[in-house]
Amino acid sequence: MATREAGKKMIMLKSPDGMEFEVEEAVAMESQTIRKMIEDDCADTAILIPNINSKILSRVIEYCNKHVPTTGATGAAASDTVAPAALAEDLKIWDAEFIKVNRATRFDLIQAASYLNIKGLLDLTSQTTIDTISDNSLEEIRSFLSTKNDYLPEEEQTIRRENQWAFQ
Amino acid sequence: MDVLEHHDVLADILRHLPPRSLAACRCVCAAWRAAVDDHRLLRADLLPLSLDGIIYQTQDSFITKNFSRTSMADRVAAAFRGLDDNLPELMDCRNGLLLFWHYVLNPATRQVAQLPPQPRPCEAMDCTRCWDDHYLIYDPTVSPHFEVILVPYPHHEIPVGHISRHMCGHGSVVSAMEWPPSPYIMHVFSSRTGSWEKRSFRRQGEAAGALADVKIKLPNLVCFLYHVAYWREALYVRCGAGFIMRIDLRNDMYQVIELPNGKEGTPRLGKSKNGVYCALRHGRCTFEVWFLDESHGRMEWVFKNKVNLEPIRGDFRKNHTDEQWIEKSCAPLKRDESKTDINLERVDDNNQAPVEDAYDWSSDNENAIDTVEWPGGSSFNAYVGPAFECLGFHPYKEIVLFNNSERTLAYHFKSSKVRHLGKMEVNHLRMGVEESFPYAPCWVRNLPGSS
Repeated sequence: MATREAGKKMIMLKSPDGMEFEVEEAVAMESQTIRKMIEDDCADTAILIPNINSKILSRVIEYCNKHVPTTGATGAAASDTVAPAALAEDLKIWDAEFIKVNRATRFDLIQAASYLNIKGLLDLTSQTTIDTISDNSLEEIRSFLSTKNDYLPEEEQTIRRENQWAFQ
Repeated sequence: MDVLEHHDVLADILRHLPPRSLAACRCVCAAWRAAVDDHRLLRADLLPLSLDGIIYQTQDSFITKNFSRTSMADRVAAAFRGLDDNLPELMDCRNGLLLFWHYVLNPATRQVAQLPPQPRPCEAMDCTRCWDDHYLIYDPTVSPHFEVILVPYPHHEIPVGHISRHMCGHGSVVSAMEWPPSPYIMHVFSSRTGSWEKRSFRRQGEAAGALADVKIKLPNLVCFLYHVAYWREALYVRCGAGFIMRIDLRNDMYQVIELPNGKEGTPRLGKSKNGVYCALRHGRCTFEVWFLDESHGRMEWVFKNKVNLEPIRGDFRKNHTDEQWIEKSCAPLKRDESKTDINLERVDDNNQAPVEDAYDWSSDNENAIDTVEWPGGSSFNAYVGPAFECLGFHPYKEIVLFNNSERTLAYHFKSSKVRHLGKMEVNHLRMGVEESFPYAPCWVRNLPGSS
């Protein structure tokens, strides 16, 4: 965009329920989806974010604000007053607090992170689901994640046999 | 709509899972299978599922050799060319990774991960006799990370080894102590942390006996202790004549298990189709195969089969193998030779292992020899041919490998059939095979700590 070198350029994000959020471009560009829109010059006015309500969108912006790299407008590193390790530790604690939400919100956040393509947020929000899948049997996975088994018994046996090594 | 019904979102979550979990996910429901398959998340073709060779060292040299299908042999040998190590001493092999003294090597991807200097086996300043056995823990179907575990070994000559580590001395008190000790202190390297850590393993149940007795009965050669099995986050390792330990790495506990058949015979442990197996050699050519049944809280050996290989001497079908297995020396290249011989780039070109190229291990093959009619085990005293030794198990099929100076055999212990693989060049007049590990290549290019 023509005005990119102006530094703190602001971007307007709109949720389907009509709320508008003004954020710094650098923050919005934590989302690879939005970054692409900006780079393709499709973001002159407000960007409409479909399928993500204002409650979830505000949380996503909160996350991006916290995680945007601390670099100046020209790309040079900000003054290094805090040790990187301490900063990472601080972020970890912040993430742990951030993800203390109910199941429905967590799934909404997963969906938002997936659509907006924000890797860090997707990793963070899907970790609980990943742990559930890793640590449990097939029946438990189905029950914990309310997924319905739509296989016939013999179908399931066939699919299982395709990767017999995983069940030994 | 539930987020997990959203195909792309589901795939985004599932892509974080290891192969074993992905295989389970395909069974959850049709939508999950589609998410895994459409995004090609499960790459079973890269996993060490097919046995393509045997990696071994002989007792008369420390040169690592591989006995493989022709298509695999060059690749394994080439992986050693770049190593900065004159005589890499092979310690262990697990699911496609090889463990040497200071590093771990994946011959298929030619990735090398260096290990930091290992802790001394004994803290006594002048002790040079104490010794650790080195084992590799790695299962790429569960995690890309590996661990190296150092198990203190009660040396034949030392009245007292590492009672609780670091007490190297003589004395009746220590000789009377039970073995294995509890806590059994071992050093473990984890590629997750990149460092060594001291861990205490506590025993559940009985010990194998007093240290003095265990030592006397231990075979003099360290190599008898080397072969271990690793299954479901537990390491099965010998801990004295007639006993093994099941070291549970999830809770840092261990349990002593008596070997089958009244502890008679020379054992070889291995992981195969349904878990942990043991091949027991009696005399020069008779083997029993046992399975350690751990289902429903049990822990007992179940007899699977027995074969006396004596009649194989009269069988000359050994030239009728479907694909010749050949032997290659795997030596690091001297600098002035580095430009010649094998073209590494060419080897890199076909880096994706085609699974359809895998060796056909079927026992229905026309060259398989039925052993059901063979006489049982009683005539082995009269057998004058070269003795057989067990080389290990196929990791996923009920097959165990045997070798003597004349032939290398695959024994299908479920169908009682034998197939010839070829002939390993081992100078049995001088010394036999010191270490041998069935090798299943792992093509996953994510060895932690490699450059």
